[in-house]
Amino acid sequence: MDYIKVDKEKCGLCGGCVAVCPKKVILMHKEHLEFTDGCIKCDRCIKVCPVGALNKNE
Amino acid sequence: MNKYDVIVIGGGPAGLYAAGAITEGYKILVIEKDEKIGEPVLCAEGISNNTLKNFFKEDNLPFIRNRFSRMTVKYKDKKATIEIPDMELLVDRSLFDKYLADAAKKKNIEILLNTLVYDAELKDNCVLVKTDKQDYEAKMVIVADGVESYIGHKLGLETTCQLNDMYSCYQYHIQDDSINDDEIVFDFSPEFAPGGYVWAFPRGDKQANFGMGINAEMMKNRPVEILKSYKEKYYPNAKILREMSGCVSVNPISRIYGERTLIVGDAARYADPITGGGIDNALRTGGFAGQVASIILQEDNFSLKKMSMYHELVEKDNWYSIKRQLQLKKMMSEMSEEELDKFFASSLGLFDGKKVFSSDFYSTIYSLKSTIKTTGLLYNFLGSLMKDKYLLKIIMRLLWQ
Ligand SMILES: Cc1cc2nc3c(=O)[nH]c(=O)nc-3n(C[C@H](O)[C@H](O)[C@H](O)COP(=O)(O)OP(=O)(O)OC[C@H]3O[C@@H](n4cnc5c(N)ncnc54)[C@H](O)[C@@H]3O)c2cc1C
Ligand code: SF4
Ligand code: SF4
Repeated sequence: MDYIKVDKEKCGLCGGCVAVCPKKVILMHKEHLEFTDGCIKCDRCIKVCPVGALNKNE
Repeated sequence: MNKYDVIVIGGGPAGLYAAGAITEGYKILVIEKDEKIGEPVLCAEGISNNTLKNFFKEDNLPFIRNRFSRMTVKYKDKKATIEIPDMELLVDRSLFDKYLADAAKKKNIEILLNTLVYDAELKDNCVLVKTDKQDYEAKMVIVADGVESYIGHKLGLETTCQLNDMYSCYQYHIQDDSINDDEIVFDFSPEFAPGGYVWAFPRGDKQANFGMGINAEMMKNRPVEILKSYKEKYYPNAKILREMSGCVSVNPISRIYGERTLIVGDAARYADPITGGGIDNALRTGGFAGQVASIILQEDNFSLKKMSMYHELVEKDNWYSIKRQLQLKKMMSEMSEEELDKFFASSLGLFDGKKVFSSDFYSTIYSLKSTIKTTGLLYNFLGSLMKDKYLLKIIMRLLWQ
């Protein structure tokens, strides 16, 4: 299971999380985000999001 | 396999302008992931008149939305209204980008829509560009993928943005009788937008792009929530026509070229560190990239040294002001709330009712040398917004003499 879970309803595909991800594991498609392997659980993507669309998968 | 001289990755202002700036006669492809150029708009659409003059020589530009002549800067319960005749305007970003795309198409540049570049790889004599449809080969690439800046990373550039250099934004397009079509508004009150500001840019017809950007490191509550409470307080009856989230990254990456690679605009983190405005620098960096690509193609010399010409040109043009804006950003982010209170109280008091750029105003500043440090700061900020080099020179002289 991915470390991060995306709330698709909230996400505005603004690219902020992709920009701050130090491992560049987030890929932005036309209509959704894809989390590829290599996440180091730094939580920066969660922090930057203007709408709170990212959360830890618990 | 499709082969090109240059592939531009990303069809925003930086990429489109770069493509259009390459000498005609080469095989050029712009790849854009969205279905339409210029949509969706994630932008407040403000540019300076100087930007317009520098980059668009034609009359009757179809993308101008509104011009205004006053600016109000707010901080807590204080505010200053300044006249800024003919300095700032609002564009229709969608038409703006389309205009650039049309100019590129007239030069026989191919624009491929609805195509995502997910990887790029340096090969012996080319760059392999991988998309969700098929692969392409180019002698060189111009990376213009905006704030995500994903592809530059694949080509070995360090494009990760630090939280402190990131502004988390939310914006409404609103309509309200209280909107003054002739006035642009900024609010720096830290209770709303720590490290950033709230803006209302009039679109005409009592409509505005109303939004906020918060420094991601200082952020306690998300812009989506704060903007809502701000609206309830200051524009309670406004009708919301559209909402959008966005992110602005600042602080240019340390190297903006690589093997067969130039990186432009937001992807190179070239937005203004204080205002967050990035259109001007997108065009600037795009223009230089196009210029350098033309030389490289003509000489058929793709060495790293040739690519580095681009970096030199950009730094010569811009680095100084960006560097100063970064210092200012750092200074402001380190100020305590008390210091900010003082800073804004003295500067706003001094600016209220003034007309920026009159010789009169210049002498006003001059006669107030004791407070010059703080006024200089605000002036610097305003100046940056307007990109007036002459003005900035005066300020610098005042600050450092
Ligand atoms: C809320 C907000 C308000 C703003 N307000 C202003 C303002 O008032 N004035 C101002 O000057 N600037 C403003 N900006 C900044 C401005 O929008 C950017 O600086 C400007 O768009 C940068 O242009 P660009 O071409 O570098 O990037 P972009 O405009 O982001 O273009 C990048 C393009 O590349 C495409 N792309 C990305 N990745 C891929 C891929 N892998 N494959 C294919 N295509 C891809 C994207 O779809 C996009 O079309 C604002 C930004 C935000 C978020
Ligand atoms: S920062 Fe938030 S809104 Fe923006 S793309 Fe990432 S998840 Fe979506
Ligand atoms: S937690 Fe860190 S490494 Fe993982 S996706 Fe988010 S930003 Fe990237």
